[in-house]
Amino acid sequence: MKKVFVLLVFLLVPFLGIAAQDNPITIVNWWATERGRDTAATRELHFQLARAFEANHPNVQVALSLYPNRGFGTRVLTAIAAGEGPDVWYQFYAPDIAAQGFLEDLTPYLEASTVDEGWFESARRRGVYNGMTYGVPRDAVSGFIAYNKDIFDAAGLAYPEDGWTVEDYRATALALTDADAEIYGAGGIEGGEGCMMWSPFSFNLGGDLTSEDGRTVTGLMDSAGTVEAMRWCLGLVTEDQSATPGSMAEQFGEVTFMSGDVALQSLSDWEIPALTEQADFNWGVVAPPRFDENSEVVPWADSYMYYMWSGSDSKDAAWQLIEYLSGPEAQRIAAEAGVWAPNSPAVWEELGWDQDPIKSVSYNQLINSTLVPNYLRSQFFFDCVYPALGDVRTRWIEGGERELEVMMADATVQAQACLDDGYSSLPEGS
Amino acid sequence: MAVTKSYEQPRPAARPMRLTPQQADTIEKVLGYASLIAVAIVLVLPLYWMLSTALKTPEQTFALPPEWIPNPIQWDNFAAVFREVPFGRFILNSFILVGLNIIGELFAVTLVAYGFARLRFPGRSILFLIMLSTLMIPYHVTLVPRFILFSRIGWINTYLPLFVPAFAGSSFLIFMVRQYMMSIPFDLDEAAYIDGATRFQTFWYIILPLSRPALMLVVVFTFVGVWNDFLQPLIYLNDPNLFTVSLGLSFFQDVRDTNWNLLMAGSLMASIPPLLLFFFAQRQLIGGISVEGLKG
Amino acid sequence: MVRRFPLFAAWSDLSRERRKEAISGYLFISPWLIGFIVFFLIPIIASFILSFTQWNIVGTPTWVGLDNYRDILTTDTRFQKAVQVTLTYAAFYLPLEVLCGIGLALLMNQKLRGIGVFRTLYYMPYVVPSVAASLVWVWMLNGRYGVVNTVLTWFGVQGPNWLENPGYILPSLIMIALWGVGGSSIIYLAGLQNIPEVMYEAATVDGANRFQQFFRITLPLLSPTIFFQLVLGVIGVFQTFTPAFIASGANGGPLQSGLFYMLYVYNRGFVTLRMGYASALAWILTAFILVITLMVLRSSRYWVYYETDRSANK
Repeated sequence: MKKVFVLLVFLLVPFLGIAAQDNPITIVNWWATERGRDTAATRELHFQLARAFEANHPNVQVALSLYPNRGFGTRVLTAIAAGEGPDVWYQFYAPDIAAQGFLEDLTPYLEASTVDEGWFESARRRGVYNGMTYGVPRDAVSGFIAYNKDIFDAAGLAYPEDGWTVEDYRATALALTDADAEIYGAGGIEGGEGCMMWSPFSFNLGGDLTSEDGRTVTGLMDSAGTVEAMRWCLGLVTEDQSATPGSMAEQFGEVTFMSGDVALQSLSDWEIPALTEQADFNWGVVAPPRFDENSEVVPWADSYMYYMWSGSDSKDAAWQLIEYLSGPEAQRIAAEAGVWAPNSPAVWEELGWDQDPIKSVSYNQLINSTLVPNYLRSQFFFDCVYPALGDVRTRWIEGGERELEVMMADATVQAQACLDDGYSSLPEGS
Repeated sequence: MAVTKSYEQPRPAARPMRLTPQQADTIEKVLGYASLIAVAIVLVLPLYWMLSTALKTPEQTFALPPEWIPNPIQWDNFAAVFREVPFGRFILNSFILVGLNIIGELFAVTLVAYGFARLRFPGRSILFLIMLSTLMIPYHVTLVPRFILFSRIGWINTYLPLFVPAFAGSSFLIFMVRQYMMSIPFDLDEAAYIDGATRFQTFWYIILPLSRPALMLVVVFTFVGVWNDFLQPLIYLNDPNLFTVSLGLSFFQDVRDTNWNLLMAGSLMASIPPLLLFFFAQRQLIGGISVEGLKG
Repeated sequence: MVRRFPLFAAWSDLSRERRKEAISGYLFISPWLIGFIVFFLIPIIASFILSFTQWNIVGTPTWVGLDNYRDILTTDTRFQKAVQVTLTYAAFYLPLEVLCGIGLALLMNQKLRGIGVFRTLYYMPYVVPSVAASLVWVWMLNGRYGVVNTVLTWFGVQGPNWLENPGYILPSLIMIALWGVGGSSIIYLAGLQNIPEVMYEAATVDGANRFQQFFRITLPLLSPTIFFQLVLGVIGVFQTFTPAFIASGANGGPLQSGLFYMLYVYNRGFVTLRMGYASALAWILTAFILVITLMVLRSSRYWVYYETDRSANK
């Protein structure tokens, strides 16, 4: 048997030699998206990165396609279903989407990689499921509070400072709200979701929504701490009336701050470029408030992730692209173009952003961030937990109900049942 | 004053005094215009809002409370749409697709509708029902199987899946034209048959010309349907050079980062071709064709 | 309706003439028949089979038999909510669509100068890309700053938070849908134009007033068009998607009061990646629409008046 094997190897060698000489070019399909605004800058960056990568990797060509964000998820899914998925793309999945089976496990590639990635901890964890890495960060952003200096000046209040508490925030927002002048103290609250979920408050209000693996809400969402947190958030809307009107804020998101009528707004680095460019008022940023004098600020950080399709034909080349895009050189290019914030502290420091008055606020959050945001822990969060929270909000705001323990308990039961149902539908071994 | 003798002119009901025919006519005209304008205001208000947004800068858009009239007016937004994305190419692509679809639909719908409307054959009712039933199946669940089907025959990233099915005829349009054809008296068919015409000649020389309003509707509906279709181009077209207007507009949308001003500007511009078509197609639609007369 | 089974027996019953007619018939409908078999049949059968599986789109389906159907019909509260929302919406919207459609068509039918411009204006909402239109409506319906409530305050009425309040989601969506009624109005318009002038003239000579003319001439002669619109309306209303998606969001709005059936299908299929379940939902809907449509079709012989009457007509 061994003789046959050796013979076969000898026969193959000439073929291998020919193959090595031909050096075939591998094509990697990279699908990216454009944001609604600043399409030109984003597009340019993608091409720049692709060219820079190709310059360093002569055997690989990048077939870059830029698609509108709307419907991108459907596009990827249908393409994969037909066996024609992209090799590399970035998306906003929860880590446990890996259980659906269409993501390639990148752990072996990572272990063999010689590039020192050194990502922020929360950015790294964002792609980990069951101990294995399926996604690699494209960028890293954190949450902080932006404030409108002009409004503060007009009211004669001092700007918020590091170390302020949640109560300080609330008092400040209330003081600055002027219904007649249509000035709102608190932006980005939106009646609960913008407070409990995608915001710098989410971990600093004394309660969490879901377990770390995202599967359990019982005992968390209905805990006393969370109920009080929700009460605080909803209070900003109905009792203090310092929050921007819900539906408009939901639609426009962070950009209600741009109107110049909002005193304090929850933001992340994703909004800073537009703010810098377009705001016609003076503004500053400050670290998020902490729960109380005895607590530290728990940062909220998020990233988009690069993924590889498990059915790709050119996995090695795809990995090279991913490795490059998430590595220091590409990260610096993207940061200098003003499009994405880097995913590792080294690049932030290299750019001097850890000293910059605006950017250092975010930097200080990022280096301490370890938690994955609650809305990203489960692929069923937006189907199960988010509407349940929304129901509480509707009952409170529109229905005028005030029995918050009961409402949160109802929501928890509803959400948990939905989560259980979702997880039972996953393929085996999840 | 309820008495109406057969020789009197009709007059507006319940008027306390007699009016001359001219006065009645004028009042009718005034009421007519008044109602037209009132309804127009209600229907056009959202369109005005779109225009207003299309002419604002982002900061103006988010001003609270919202401004009715932008100040200053940002005409550049319309040009910006063309700068941000190759909107001109998208428009051209959409026209090509629409044209192919219209040809296909006119071809298929007229033939099939005639078959269902004027000819008898075993299984006609069942087939008609099946045809109608295809409209009842939610498209979301046939989307992926269809996509896989077209993928197997290699039609992905071409226009083929987007117009070849038009040559089979859309069930909605077949139904509509069939209804219209059924209102044409059968005596015409029989007369033609007696004169020795084949079914096709009857179809071509008699029924088709009489169905012009319905055909115009086919053109108009096909135009709008294809022009505004988003989901099909989304999944079948990978090469951005092939994108249509609807896909082009979606470049301005994002989950929380929509470029409202350009989106509205682009959408308004995208509404113009179908609207122009409709405006000029009206003449065909109001043919006022009398179907009483029998042709020789 | 004469039973057509078995086909062969029916075929042998036909005279030679009728057979020739039948062959012509098949030839004329062949474009649709071929297209149906090639482009539609396979995806339809596939989606039906998939309804008996669990399929996450990106993997291979696993057979689960009737589990999906069983879960839907017994324990799925969201299904029940979706049915309730969709039925309520349909019950209100369909009559309104017919009424407003005809009403608008009558307005568009007036012989006034410049009527062409008005017709175009009325048609325009139908033509505007529906995403942009829905977004504009979401703004307009904003409880605090929306135009709708602003106008209401002119009349002294305090409008609700349209899209935030569970009780007002459906009215909001009906409003948005009626705004686009120009699309169906032009079909009514074509139907109205098809009514010969001489009928009205003769009726006037006989002394009929406006109302009588409307109910005795216009409506009956318009009935084929109304029938057409009603059938399509039934088929379409249960599949409402885009406006609901934009206005209520993917989860169906406040307390799921805007959870349209199609939203739920989309959610199961593309959001939670349970396409088998979504297919089962879709087929239940299809069966339901089929039943209702058949009822409308059957009823047509009582109220639809075809000017031509031939025994072979439906």
